[in-house]
Amino acid sequence: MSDYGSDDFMLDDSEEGFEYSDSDGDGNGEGPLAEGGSATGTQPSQAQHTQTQTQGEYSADAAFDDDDDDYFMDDSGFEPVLSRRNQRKPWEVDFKVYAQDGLSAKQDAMVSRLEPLLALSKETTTLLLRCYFWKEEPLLEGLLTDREGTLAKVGLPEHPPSPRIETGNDAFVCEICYCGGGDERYLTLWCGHRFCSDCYRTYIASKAQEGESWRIRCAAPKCKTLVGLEPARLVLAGDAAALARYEENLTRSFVNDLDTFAWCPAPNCEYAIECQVPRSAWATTIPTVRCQCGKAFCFGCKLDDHTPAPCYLVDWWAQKCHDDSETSNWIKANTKECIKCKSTIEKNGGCNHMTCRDCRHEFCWVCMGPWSEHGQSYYSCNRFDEDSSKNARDSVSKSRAMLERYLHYFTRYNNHEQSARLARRLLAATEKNMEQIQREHTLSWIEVQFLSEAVDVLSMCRSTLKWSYVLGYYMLSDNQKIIFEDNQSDLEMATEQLNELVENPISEDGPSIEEFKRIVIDKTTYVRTRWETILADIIAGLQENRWQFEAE
Amino acid sequence: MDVPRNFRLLGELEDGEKGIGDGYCSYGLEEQDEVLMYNWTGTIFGPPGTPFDGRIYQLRVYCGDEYPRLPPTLRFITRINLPGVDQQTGVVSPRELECLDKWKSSYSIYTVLRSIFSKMTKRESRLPQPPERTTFPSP
Amino acid sequence: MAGVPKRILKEIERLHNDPAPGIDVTPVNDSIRYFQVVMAGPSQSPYQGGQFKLELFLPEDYPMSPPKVRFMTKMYHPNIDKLGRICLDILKDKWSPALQIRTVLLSIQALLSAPNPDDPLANDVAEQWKANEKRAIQTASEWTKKYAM
Repeated sequence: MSDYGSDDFMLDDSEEGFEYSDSDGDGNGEGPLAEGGSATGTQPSQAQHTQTQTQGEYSADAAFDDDDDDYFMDDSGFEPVLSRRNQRKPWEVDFKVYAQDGLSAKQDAMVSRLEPLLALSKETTTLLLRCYFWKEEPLLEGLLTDREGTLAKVGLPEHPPSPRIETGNDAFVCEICYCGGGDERYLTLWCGHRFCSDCYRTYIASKAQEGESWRIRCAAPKCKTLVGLEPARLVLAGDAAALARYEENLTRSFVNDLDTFAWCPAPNCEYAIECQVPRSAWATTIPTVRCQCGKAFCFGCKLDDHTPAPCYLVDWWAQKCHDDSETSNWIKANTKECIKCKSTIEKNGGCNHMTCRDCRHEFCWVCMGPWSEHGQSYYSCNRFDEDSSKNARDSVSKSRAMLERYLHYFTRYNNHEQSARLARRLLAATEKNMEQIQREHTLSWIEVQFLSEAVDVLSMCRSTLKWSYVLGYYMLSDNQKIIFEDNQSDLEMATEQLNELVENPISEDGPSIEEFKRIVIDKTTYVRTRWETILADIIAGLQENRWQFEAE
Repeated sequence: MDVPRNFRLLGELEDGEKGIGDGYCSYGLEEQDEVLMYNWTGTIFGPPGTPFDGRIYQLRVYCGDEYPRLPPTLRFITRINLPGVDQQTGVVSPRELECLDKWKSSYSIYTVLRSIFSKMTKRESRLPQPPERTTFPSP
Repeated sequence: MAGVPKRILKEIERLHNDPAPGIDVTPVNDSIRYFQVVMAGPSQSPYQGGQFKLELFLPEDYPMSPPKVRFMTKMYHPNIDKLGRICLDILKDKWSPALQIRTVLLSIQALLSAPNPDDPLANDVAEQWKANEKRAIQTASEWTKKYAM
């Protein structure tokens, strides 16, 4: 089995369970598609390259050596490409984006490679692979232990004859339409059943309409023989729409049948993603992938990116929030009042540093405390103070305390979600700002990119902070949690400062543009470093089982 | 091609069992074993933001032998003050509901319930309503 | 598919010239797609002696899609529900366009001889069939007397 175990597809066979490859950390999810130039275009060299793989010129080992982090993992026939930037980050995983053409090429490549090894026809190899959900190892095992039984599964001989449409048989009568005679054109499948080609076309076309493809069986009652791809393509040749539908179903079934492939969940997006991180690793790794269309999502649960919270905590949290939706509705419905002058305040920017329009009182949106305590001294807004709530627990019921604990985490989670949304709006405003700065200070486009970079970093931090509160909610209190919360607090404070910087437009009496640019770049760099440190630490912590998480 | 009445109604029954639309209108057979499927019940949840909001309306729907060539007949069980509904009997006047008046055999029980639902959202339907949980006298 | 009406006409012709024993098929209002069927209950079964009414309809894409069939006579059978709908594999995913009206009706007749309570459509009947088969068979034959004779 080892002959096949080390090949490019069986990545799960490695000791680690999965391999990372490069990722550039810029969030563009640069995959082979991007490298190939066009997102939808064909890769003409692909099929050829796959051929060379099967001839053994392609050294899988070299491409997947652990030390080869600088190379793209590539098993679809794209040239391994040297990463132009850094290695992937510890929280990033390897993935690839495929367009329709790439998926067809991938299927062909898998079949072509296995075909000579099995010593079976291409058709039989294809159907067997599909019957085994493209899992080569069980298929090979099945063939080794029981070749006949395994072949009986698809109802095909080792080398089925090429299908032909025949005519000139006076004795022929089609059992579907009851037409017959020497002029009738008909197709005989390997099982011996024959029907006229018109009926076969209608039959396969109607099955294709229902979403079927390779699973279509011979039209004779109770016959288990699979029609096969070649006969299906032969009879559908005159019906372009049905043939297209059939081919589409083949690809759809390929992506659906493989655990390591998934469709991009964005509406109308037709790309598929390959990710080799196995299900067993989803508790300690967040398999975030980014489609060519820009959608970032978790390969595990297919929800939007939720780094650094693992899928199961996201699931708990979603259930919790659903159960407590009344409470969260209550929170959302309640706008806050200025603690000083009691005028109603609606949050309209992403920054938590609030200034009351009426009395100019400055305070923190999250804890409502005076902002002065946040800026310079210790920023204590991120943690649910277990000690002080102890007193509360004495006086109020336990359920009330639990509700308050939930509200503490939910408020912060929700706040970062809102701020992230506002940050996206900020991006539009920022672009205007950039144009303005460009005009007024005769700077080039590149020279004003620092603003949009700042907003990008801001969005990443908001998302990370938001999900870090889900981690915090389920994390048992111990010294490790205190360290976690200190880190969280650092990032939160830095994020707020950056947000405030970017949100406030440059004023006449403020610093010069050069100075402003320097401040923003410095802050962005600092925040990015904090963000990377914290993410790396959280992922390491998850993998080391540093924290204990408990469902309620 | 016209699907015969019984198979047409079996299809509608299956759709109703699966649940169609947004859930405001639903229907089913009055008796689960009525092989000829004449008598149905329909349920309409009052549209939000209308005088019918929060109320549940029950209707009798009768599909005759000539269905779907001819439309079903409908009668409210739950009291309602709605244009086109007879205030003595609860019968829906076929002339005052467009889908009954201009009936096509492609229409269904759901089509009719849904058009009553949209009639409830119309401005001219903003009428004072009878107390909740009152019913029309059974015929 | 110019052959479809031909196929249906041929099937009707064959059903007329060579009727299946105990199965009578009559077109409704000269339709070529809608039929009234009378089926004799198989001997050695609780349905013996009964004459059961069914209706059968050939949808537009017949024979690519199976015919639609249901009992009009009340049946006490684990694979037939209160509205006469039938749970039979060849009427669903095991349909083959090479099957015919005749084979479908013969399969339904066979289903009367061999109920399958493990794949039920009528759950209450199936429960009864599994818990007390003798009692269930008795009920089936009472229903046959009551509704089908």
